[in-house]
Amino acid sequence: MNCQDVDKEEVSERYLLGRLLDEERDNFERHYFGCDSCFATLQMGLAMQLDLEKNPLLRNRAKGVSWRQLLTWTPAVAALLVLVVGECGGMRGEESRQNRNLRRSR
Amino acid sequence: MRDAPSNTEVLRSLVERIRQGDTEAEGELVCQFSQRIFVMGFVRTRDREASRDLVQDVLIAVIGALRKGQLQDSDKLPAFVHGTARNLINNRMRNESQRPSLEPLSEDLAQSGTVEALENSERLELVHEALQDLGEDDRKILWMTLVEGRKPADIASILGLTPEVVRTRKVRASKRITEIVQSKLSRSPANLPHRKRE
Repeated sequence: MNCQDVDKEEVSERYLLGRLLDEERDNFERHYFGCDSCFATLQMGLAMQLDLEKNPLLRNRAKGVSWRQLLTWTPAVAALLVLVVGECGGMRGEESRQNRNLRRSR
Repeated sequence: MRDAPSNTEVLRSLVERIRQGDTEAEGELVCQFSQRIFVMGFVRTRDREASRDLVQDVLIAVIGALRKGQLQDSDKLPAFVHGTARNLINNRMRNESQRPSLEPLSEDLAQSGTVEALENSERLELVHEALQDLGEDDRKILWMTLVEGRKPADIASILGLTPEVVRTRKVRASKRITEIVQSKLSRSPANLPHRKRE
């Protein structure tokens, strides 16, 4: 195995994903034990993999809430809010009317 | 003027110096191979603790063998270190409980490959920053490739791109991150040549 093979066949990436055959894996490891350039590339790949793995924000983004989903649900949420606010307002009005009546009767 | 020594000469000299009991040469060996052993152990086991232990065990075994002059062909030092690491990982996986207890590395040698150096926290931090600066699609491509293990054709159909575009963007994004990180690492005080104290 040489540096060109590693580059062309995306060996470093497949190694990090555990997708090399045992023999390929051993050959690649033997190669990077003696090759500074391929080891530097592998270290970068591993660092990126570890960072991306622990980044939940990106995980949510990659799964994605689409604009279409937002547009579908936004009017429904807005209507619900109007109903809730209206209901609360109505309840408050009813309450103050009852209080006024109570004061008058006293 | 003499050219810089070739890799073969460097390895030959390193192996010979260790055989003669030069502890500085042992430190150089630790620096050269500890991160490689750690990465190999981590990729195979995904276990940080086990990988750190592996680094110690491999280096103790290799230094012991080199002190006894057991490596005939010094060009094969990287392959020898790799072979020792592979055997120890396989043995450990076969039978964790029967692992022989090895004498730990001396404090000086152990410090040549501290945990921070093994995991290279500065590199991880710089990679994190560089990833944040990437465009969202490029980050998604890297995430789907390196975390989900998706192939370019698969990613292309999800993102509405062609596989060729996905491949190109993946390579371009990886290269960009590598360049940013390496340029910042080369300017880092830890990597500047040490000045002599006056």
